[in-house]
Amino acid sequence: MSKKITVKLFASLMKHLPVNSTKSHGFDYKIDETTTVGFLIDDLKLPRDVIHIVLLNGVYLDAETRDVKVLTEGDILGFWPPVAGG
Amino acid sequence: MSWTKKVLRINLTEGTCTPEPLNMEWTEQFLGQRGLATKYLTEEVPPTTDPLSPENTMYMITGPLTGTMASTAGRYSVVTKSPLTGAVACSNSGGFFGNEMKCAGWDMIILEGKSPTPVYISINDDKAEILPADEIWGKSVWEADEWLHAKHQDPQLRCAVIGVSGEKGVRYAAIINDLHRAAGRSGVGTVMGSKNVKAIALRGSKGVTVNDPKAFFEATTAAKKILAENAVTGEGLPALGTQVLMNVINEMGAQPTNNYKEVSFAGASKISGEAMLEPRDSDGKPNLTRNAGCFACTISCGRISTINPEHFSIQNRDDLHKSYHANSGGLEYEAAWALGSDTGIDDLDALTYAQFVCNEQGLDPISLGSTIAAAMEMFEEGFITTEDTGGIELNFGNAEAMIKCTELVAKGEGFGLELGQGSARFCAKHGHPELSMTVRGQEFPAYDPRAIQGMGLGYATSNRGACHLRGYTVASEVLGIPIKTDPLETEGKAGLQIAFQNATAAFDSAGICIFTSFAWSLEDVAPQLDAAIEGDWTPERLGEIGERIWNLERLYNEAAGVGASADKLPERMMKLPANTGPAEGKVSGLDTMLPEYYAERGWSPEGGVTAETKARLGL
Repeated sequence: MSKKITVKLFASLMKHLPVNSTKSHGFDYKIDETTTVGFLIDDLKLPRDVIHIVLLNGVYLDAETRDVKVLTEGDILGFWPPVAGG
Repeated sequence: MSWTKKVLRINLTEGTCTPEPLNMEWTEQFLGQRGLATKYLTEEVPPTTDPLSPENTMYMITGPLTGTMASTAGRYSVVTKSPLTGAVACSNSGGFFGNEMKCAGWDMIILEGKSPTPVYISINDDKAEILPADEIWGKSVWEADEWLHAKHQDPQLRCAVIGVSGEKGVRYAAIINDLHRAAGRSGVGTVMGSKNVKAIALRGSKGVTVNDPKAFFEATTAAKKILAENAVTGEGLPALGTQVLMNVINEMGAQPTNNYKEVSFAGASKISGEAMLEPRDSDGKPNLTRNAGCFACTISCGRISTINPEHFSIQNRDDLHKSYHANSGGLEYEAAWALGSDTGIDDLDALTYAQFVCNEQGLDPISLGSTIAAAMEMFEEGFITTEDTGGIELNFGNAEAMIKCTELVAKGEGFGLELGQGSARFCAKHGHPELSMTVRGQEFPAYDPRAIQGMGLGYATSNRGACHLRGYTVASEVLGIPIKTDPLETEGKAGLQIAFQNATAAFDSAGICIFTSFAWSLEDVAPQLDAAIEGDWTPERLGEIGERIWNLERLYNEAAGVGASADKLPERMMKLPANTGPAEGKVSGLDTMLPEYYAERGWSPEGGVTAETKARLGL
């Protein structure tokens, strides 16, 4: 049985959402035991030069960790371009 | 140049308008706007003054870059002693009022004393008059603005106006200019109302000159290029505004919810910047119509929105309130959080409606939403009942109740006048001061101190009470600007807060918007100032001025009785751990950070500004 995580894309990255994604910006993504965040980014053709904030279950992943971090069942992975406000 | 070197002092008791020279010696030490007006306040208004007495004075002041072609150079500030906090108040606004003041030939307008009857101030270049406001007293900001434009027959008139809330003594009343830009926090509109002043209507035709036009053109052009090429100021803020933060802060578990009981909100995505772009079923239009910019701004983060025409909130608004059925100033993140997440309400149109009411009647939506949230918790705990609320079932998540409360506060009526005293006074009155999420009596903004540790230190030490705009370490702790730090870590946060606080004080005193600091450092501001005004302006000097301003504000607060003794967070932040997300189990580490902060500030272990620090800064 395949394992799944939830991927969420925000702000200008929303244009990379699959057509069937929900209003909460998320969609399911199938993983295996070796799937890394870096693999997912390339598999979904997300623009690496635009991605700035990556939160894995709410915790920030720095640029070095992203490529090697292995995903596990039920993870929530969010991507943002550079954003700010206040 | 760039300075007009002129101040308009208006004595409302005497009914006089008197020009006087700007104290240029003080501009060398405190720059302009926030710093300079605070210097005037500390020299002219004793710290023990009752904020709502005629002895309090209100300073509307520009910065040296205000009115120039520097990006975002439309800013002005209102400085006074706050009726909400008893501390120094400084609220900053954009729009087109500040540049108009400078173009009329004034760096600062001072309102002192109290008029015996309602008045407004009319300024047309050198000509200043105190005129009767009987016809607009009791009217909303929007109605008064329309009346002033018709009366003076000048479509270019720029008006800063208070609503009924400010007339009635709501302690977090704002001053609204250009219909929906606000000097929002700390009750500066309340002070204006206490002086019986409804509005200041300005027209300026003199223009603004700079010291070295060629160098200024080069410096401002280079700085604008930086803003344009930066992903935040060039793309993110124009597209989604500050509301882009809603999902980030919620996903990381730092989104205060239900009066700070929880740190994430299930309905966050429904009230986010992204949600404002989604077409609705009724008319196929999204909430957001377009972005908007203030004078000279090359970022344009402002939101222009409409309410769903089928939404319950606007079904009974009559023709006097056509703006509720049309485009108007929409939601910022802070307003959407306070009126929405903190009250448990995920109805985007209800929040937009409440924001419009805040604009129309001059209210700070942060203090309003937070106070309603505290009242909701009091209601659910049974500490207040429908007998107190006038029949309102004030449960979390009840959009109708939030709107009813907003309308009552806006008009200063009944239960609304009680909520209008702010959450600290409201909760204390009903026997549960611990449920007020405030520092120095001012309501928290939208970042949980248990999940973003540096912000807790920022709230506790902010000179104008809890505030995100005094030291926005969210930039570093969450967004990675200029470098990423760990939001759950306390180590190093004292130095980080101090760096942000000092730099922010310098930005706030220059006549530009703090949002430029997402792309600019003081290295980018200094050349613009250096070309605009006389003297040598370096980043180092600006940093020192920022530190001097911070300490000056602190000294005033110490003398007012809201110094170190008020450097505290509510018990909830110190004892109730975050219940979900990465911060689960954590409370604020303020007890660790505060001694480090005092030491790095050069203050005593008790938090007092030492003689050595005063001498070093020339205070």
